Parts: sequence; C-alpha cells; structure tokens
Amino acid sequence: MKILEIKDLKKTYPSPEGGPQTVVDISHFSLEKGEQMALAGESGSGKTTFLHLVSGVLKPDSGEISLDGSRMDLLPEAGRDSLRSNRLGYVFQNFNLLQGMTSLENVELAMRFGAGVDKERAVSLLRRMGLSERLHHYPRQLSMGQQQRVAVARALANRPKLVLADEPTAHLDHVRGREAVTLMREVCREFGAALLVVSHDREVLSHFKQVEPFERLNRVLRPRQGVKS
Amino acid sequence: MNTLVFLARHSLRRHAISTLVTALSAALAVGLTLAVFGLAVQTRAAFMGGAGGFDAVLGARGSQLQLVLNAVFQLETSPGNIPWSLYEAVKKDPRVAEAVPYAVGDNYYGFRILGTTLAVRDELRNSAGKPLELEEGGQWFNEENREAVVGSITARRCGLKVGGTFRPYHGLAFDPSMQHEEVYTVVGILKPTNTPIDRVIFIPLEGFYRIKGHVLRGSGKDYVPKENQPIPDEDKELSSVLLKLKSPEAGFTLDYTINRQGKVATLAWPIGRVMADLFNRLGWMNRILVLVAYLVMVVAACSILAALHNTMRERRREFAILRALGAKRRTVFASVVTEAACIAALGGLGGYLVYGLLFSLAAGVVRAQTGVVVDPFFFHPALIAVPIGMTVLGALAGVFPAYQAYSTDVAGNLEPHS
Repeated sequence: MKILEIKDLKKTYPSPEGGPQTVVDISHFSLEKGEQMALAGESGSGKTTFLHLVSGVLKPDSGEISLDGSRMDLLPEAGRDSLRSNRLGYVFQNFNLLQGMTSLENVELAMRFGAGVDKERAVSLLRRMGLSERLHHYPRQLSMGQQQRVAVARALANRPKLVLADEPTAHLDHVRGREAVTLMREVCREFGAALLVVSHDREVLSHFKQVEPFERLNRVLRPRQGVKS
Repeated sequence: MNTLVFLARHSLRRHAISTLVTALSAALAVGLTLAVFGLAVQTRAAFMGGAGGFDAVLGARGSQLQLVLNAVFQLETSPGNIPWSLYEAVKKDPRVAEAVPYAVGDNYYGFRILGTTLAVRDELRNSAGKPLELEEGGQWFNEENREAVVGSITARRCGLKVGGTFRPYHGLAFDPSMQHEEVYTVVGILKPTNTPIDRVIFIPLEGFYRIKGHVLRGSGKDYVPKENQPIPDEDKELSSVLLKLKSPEAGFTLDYTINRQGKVATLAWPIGRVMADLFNRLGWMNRILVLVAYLVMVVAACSILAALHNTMRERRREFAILRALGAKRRTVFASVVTEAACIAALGGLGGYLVYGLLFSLAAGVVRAQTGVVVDPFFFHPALIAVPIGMTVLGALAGVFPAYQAYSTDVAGNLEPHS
C-alpha cells in the first residue's frame, strides 16, 4: 500500500530575469508503507523544494500529492499544516531545534501541533535515541550528533507514517553520520514509518537498497544557479 | 491555549532582558495611572468626608470654601471674625444641635493654635467617626488655665510631650520674631485621628483672648483684654463656629436665614458639598493627569510593539520551524499576541508595586501637609481595570509583530537551501 504517491508534480518560481523557472517537474513517484528510500542529488537540484512540496510547506503549481490517502495538493494551508503535523516527520539538515527549549520540550513541541503532549512517549523516544541523560539539556549544550538524534525523536513524536530527512548527516563526521543513518533507519522501522532521505553524500546513500538519482526523477534537466530550492 | 502560553513563556524566557525592560515600562505606566486614580478618589473622599462629624461652618461674610478650608482643614486664612453674640444666638437656635467655637490667629512652628471650649472634646470625631482620644497620661485642658492639648503630628514634629511647655507665635505663619510671652503647658496629646486635627494645638478660648497683643473687635471697637477682669461678651469674637444640625431641613432654613437674608455671616453647608464644588472645579486638572497617565500607557504599549518588532527578523526561522512542525498561521499569530499580552500583564503586576511606592510617597506628603490620611489599600475599580487595560493594550501592540510572524515565508526561512 502506497504511503506517498506523486503524479505530474510541478513547481515554478519566478526567475531573476522575470520569467518562470521550473524547479521541480516529476511525472511519477511513490513510496510504499514502511519503505525506506534515498534520493541522490547534488546541491541545487531541487531536492529541498521537493521535500517542502511533499510536506505541504509549499503548494505545487500543478500535479497530485497523496499522503496516506489524503490529497495534500487539494488541501488549504491549514489542512496541509494538520496533515503535516499528524502524518509526517521532518528531519532538517540543520536540525532546526528551537534554541530556547530543552530536548524534551523540543519533542513535546511537535506533539502540541499533532496528537497532543505525551510526556512519557517523548521521554521514551529520547531514551531510545540514547539521550536519557540529555532530556533537559538545551541544543547549545548538545553535540551535533545529539542534536541530530533529538531532531529524529521530534520527527517521530506524532507517530508519523512518513519521515522526510533532508541531508541528515551534513553536519556530522563520517562515523557519526553512519551511526545517525543506521539509527534513523532502525527507529523508523521500529515505529512503522516510511523513510525518504535526500542526500548527496555517498556514505549515506550506501545504507539504502533503494537509491533514486533525483536528476532522473526531476525532469528539469539541470539545476539553475540562483534558484531558490 | 496551553500551547500559546508554552510558546510565549519560552520566548519571554529567551528574551529575558528585553522582556524585563519592556515590562518595567508597562509597570511604571500602570503604577502612575493607578496612583493618579487612587489619589484622586482617596483625596476627594478624605476631604469630602473629613468634617469631623460636623454639618456646617459659620464664619465671617465671604467665601464658603475659604471658611471650610480654614475651619475644618486648617489650610486657608480666616475670612474674618464674627461677634460672640452670633455664636450665642446660633447655639440657642433650636435647629442647631451643637456649636463649637474656634478662634485662630497664632501658631507654634507653623502648626495652628485653636482657641476653643471643651465642647471640642465631646463633639469632634476622628476619621473613623469616633470621639477623640488622648494618649496615656494625658487630660483635657482646664478652661481657666494656660494649658494645651496637642495633635499627634504637631506633638511629634515639635517634640511636645505631656508636662512640656511652649510659647505661641503670633499669626498663622511661623515668624520667629513674633513669639508671645505666655507659656502654655501641654496636658494631653491626642491619639492620631487621621484628620487635620492631628496638626493643631487646642487651647482654652479665654486663654487665647488673653494672649498679649490680641485685640478683640467684637463690638466694632478695639478691646484689649485686661488681667483679672472678665472680658465682656460684646467684645469677644470668633473665627468660626462648627455646627451640628438637628436635621437636613435645618440646614436649608439656616442657609436661607444666614446666607440670603443676613449680611453679617456666611454659613457653609453642607461641608461635603462645598468641598465637592472645589473638586469639581479642579476636575479639569485631574482629567489632564488621567490623560497623561493614559498616554504613558500608550507609550508603554508602543515600547512592547518596538521590542517585539525588533526581534521579528531574528525570529523568522523560529516561526518557520514552528510552521514546519505543523503550527498553523493563526497559532503563530496568537502566540506573538499572547507574548505581548504577557509582557503587559507582567507590567500590570509590577504596576501594583510602583503604585504602592508612588502612593506611599504621595500619601506621606498629603498627611504631612494636611493631616488627612489616604489609604493605598482602599479599593477602587481602577485597581482592576487599569492592569487589564494595559494587558489589552499590550495585546493590541502585539498585533503588528504577530502579523509579521503570521506572514513568515516558511520555505524561505528554513535552512538550508540545497
């Protein structure tokens, strides 16, 4: 059963010259429930824009996005917000933890916009990430690897059906990066969430059986300089 | 709601210094406004109800307000004197329950000396409406002797104690060169009455007349009292007579008889109405003070707006993260409005401290200058309305920054761009 299905997806931005510039043009893409896949692509290829479209942060110009049976592209903004908070987890390249909140509060924050605060589950998620001793630490008191693990725990806070990860190891060394990807794959499997990772890091890609070159998926042939992606 | 408070709390904690400074400006605004309201209400209540149990004042022809300020609040100069015969007539009038004569014209270090009778002991009331009481070991003066009963503030400020003596100074303003020869002995110190009585010295009327240098003009001709000779009634005169009337109707008829038909004296009745007229006439001043206080509150709200607006640029990413986690635009908007309202509400709470401080300072001045006590814990609706008003103003001030947060471009502010 498909957790994510995309058809004829297009996103266009105005170019610096004034005309339209297509950044994402994907005829078809799908992901099965619990499936784990990596999209390989260089910087500027439109991977982040693609993830923003999948998560509903951006609205496509045309095309269909079905997430767990719901048509994301047909929903108004508030509906996309709800769908995102309840069915999706998002691990950002810079982790995007809120600096004024502890690890536990960062995880609880995601719950507030989704299923509701469940402190026990938040604590158990952080423990699963090996952060039992770091529950009440602020991001600035954590290593990059620990911050990444908090971000993964936060992504899993609302029992998502799909976890999106954008260059999840960009700020980690090889060893930590490998550990992070392994852990992310493990926990997604444990919690029954599909995982879609976009990265240009071969080390990351080597962990996945299914690796799809993003340039092949995206019909826009070349990444464009100066394009917001 | 929990989420909004959660977000606001974290943001306030993260911007603690800016929060404290902005809340302080709101606290000053709230405190100032409360003090303006509180002092206006309290001062009005104290002066309108501070007649010491009397209904009217009889005095020389002139201003009723001057008469009341002079006889009741010990603030103004006397508009003139009335003959003793008028006092006798009023005292015997069936409409009058009690009459207490006052003769003023001397001071002790600026504190007024009132020549009066022992009727003052029986008829005057403190701010609670109870009879005057003396401190332990004191007694009321003997009307035949040079004895004095001293108000509590006068005693403290002049260092007067039971058994101590003093020599009065001529006139209502203290002039060291105008000291009389007569020596008075303090026989009693009044317990605080929280009225202007705390700032006076009572001496017997006869003794007042007999102070050297006092000239009586009750009969229309100058008369200097002579030792060992009784003072003829027709030569005696008084500054004022405090009256208790038997009924409100008595006030109407006396007012008609004395103020409209007579030409010798003025009856200030009722005392509360005379003071109310004064406060009504000075109402514009209070309105200006209130307006200034409101403006200070608006300025405080503007400072909340400025403080939040200044952080909006650096917080764009924070809002984008919240939105990416599923927060709706309206949640982000409401969280900023809540934050602004919380800063203002903190200011509102702090405002009570500022109010207490300002009121205590002002109350001290009012007490020292008039003897009237104003109570900071006296409830008036502004104590609730002003902090709530500040909170609402703060929330309104948060609308523009909230709109900026609401409009944050999520994708554009989520790093990184790949």
